[in-house]
Amino acid sequence: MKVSFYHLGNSWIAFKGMMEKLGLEVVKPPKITKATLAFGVKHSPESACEPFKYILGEYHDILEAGADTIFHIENRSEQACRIPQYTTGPKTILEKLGYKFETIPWGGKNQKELLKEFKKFAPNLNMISFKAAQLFCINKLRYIEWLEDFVNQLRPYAVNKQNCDKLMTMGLDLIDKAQNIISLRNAKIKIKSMGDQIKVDKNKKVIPVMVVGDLFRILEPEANQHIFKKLGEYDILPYRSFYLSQHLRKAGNIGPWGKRSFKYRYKFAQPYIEKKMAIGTLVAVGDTVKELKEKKVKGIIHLYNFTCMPEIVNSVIFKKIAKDFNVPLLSLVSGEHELVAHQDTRIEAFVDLLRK
Amino acid sequence: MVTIGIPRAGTGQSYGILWKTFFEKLGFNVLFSPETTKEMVDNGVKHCDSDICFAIKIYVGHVLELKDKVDYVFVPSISDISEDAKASKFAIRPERIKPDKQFLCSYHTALPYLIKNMFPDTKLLIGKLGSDRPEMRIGLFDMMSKQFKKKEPEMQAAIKEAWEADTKEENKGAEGNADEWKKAKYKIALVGADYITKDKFCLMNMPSLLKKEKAILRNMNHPRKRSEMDRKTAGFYVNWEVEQDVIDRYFDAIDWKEIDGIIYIMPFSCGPCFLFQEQVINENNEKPVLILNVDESQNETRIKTRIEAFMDVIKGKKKGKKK
Repeated sequence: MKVSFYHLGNSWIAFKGMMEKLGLEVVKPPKITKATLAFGVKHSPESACEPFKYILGEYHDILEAGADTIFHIENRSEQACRIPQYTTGPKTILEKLGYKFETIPWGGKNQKELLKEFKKFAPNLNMISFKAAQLFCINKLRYIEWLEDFVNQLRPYAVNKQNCDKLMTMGLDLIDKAQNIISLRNAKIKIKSMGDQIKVDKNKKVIPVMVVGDLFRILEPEANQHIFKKLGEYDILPYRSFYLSQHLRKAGNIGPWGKRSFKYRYKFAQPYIEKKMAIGTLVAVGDTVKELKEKKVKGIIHLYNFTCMPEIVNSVIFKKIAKDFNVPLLSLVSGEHELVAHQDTRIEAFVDLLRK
Repeated sequence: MVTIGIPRAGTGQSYGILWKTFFEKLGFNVLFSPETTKEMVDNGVKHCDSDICFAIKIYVGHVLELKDKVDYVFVPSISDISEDAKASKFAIRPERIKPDKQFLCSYHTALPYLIKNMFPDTKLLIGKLGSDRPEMRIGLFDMMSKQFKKKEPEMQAAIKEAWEADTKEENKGAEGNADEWKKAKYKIALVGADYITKDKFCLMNMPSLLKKEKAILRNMNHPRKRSEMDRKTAGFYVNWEVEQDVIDRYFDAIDWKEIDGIIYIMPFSCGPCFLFQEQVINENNEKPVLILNVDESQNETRIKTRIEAFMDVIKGKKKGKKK
């Protein structure tokens, strides 16, 4: 049996760590290309949003690469987004096309039920090692997220921007190799010391900006056309509100942590919206209001997909927030025909607006 | 006396009578918005984002119509049930979250907040409701005790009568006009969510067009009760409550032998519907199906041509059977 998973940006490194801890054979997911999206667009319902098309294409790539089991995250407990349907959707479509495979869903259920499901694939598993593997995955995710933030916030100051990209690939490699928490910590120290060697110009005037949006577009650089990198090159300091590790902890019912921080952020969102819709929509509003109140950021960039229901609602709310706090807002809607040059022009115009 | 306005759109189409009776028993004046008109729809379209579902645009139109006539506009946020149970102090025993819980789409969940952010000066009465029986009670009680300081026993009596009125209303609709039904040559089922099929604006001139063709339109708004297991084994289980209802209605129409054809109607850019309708209809196509998308353009010729073509298919099929 060979397991694989879709990318979700750099999160696949953490999933890989978890699968290896569970003693399963892993196939590295192939890189996303234009053919990936083309396959997704060809076989999915026309008004499904972009993530569905990407995920379907990636499933296809993974199966072609030789995997026969697909591991995916799932959160069914509290959302009105179309994601619950998406976990079963690609499977039915691919089975019609003649592919045969199994899926391992993670999250949404309590630990005992989850363990039962995982035991089908790894018979020798017990509760302690199962929990340890999940915690290891989430820790790894945290370190990956820390690295992404570290590099993204270093890039606007850096004299030579290419060094930051090198640091990113080297850092990811170090985190990938780490097999326990101690070596993860050592990797962090090493990355920090490497970051110190990059030449920076601290006197540069950078503009802090909040980047919010739906999880797939925030996480997957292929889907957002490397927007964080691009913003760094324009000397803009991007903050983001979505961190997968926080949501996975809650959705997977693994531990009690993380809940308090959510509630704290919901308070800021209350004047605008009180109900959760999909993963991270309410947190995004809360975070944006919080940062704007503290005068930490000077603009909002909202990324979302065409036909995404929760984010269309959120776009109305962000408009109101931008009006209330008198900051510029850039809404980047994307479908599968999104061009790199198109997005670049819009970002450039937005940056000019921010500078003035 | 305080007047509460209930928009006759969206979830108000299915639960309007319930809420009206509840508020009236507690001593409020209740005002329904009038039937949808072209002007209201235009108003709604003007103020909404272009991507938003058409059903919500109609709702916004209704709210704008009511806004100046009443003290409060009642806009419910209907979503997952368990969350209400947890949040409310009236909850007797907070239910655990079931993994396969059904919910309403995000527009209905965020409806009051959407309207609050679009028109900040409207006075809204926001109720966080679940669509289940005991839970709707909790959401309404919470709202009324916070806003108007009503006592619980009083509200309990009111909600009991309200549910009775609601079931009475539901049973009334089930019978319909039996004579016309027998006379009609072709019987056609109308499948769609309540907020579209009960709205005369969305149906346009379809009933009269069908009458010319000696056909009668039957609204399938009373689906047969099915268990969760039943739905799952048949392979048409979805996570949205309203859309699950629509699918149930579709299968009812397929199973009902008298029905000759089905009209599947939905608002333009309804997120959930667009996802699965293709799959459901392609796999179960024993009867001719006409898929109609409703939007603000009221082009009668378009509907006429489509209905005529659809009727030709039905006639052809019936003739073929006789031979």
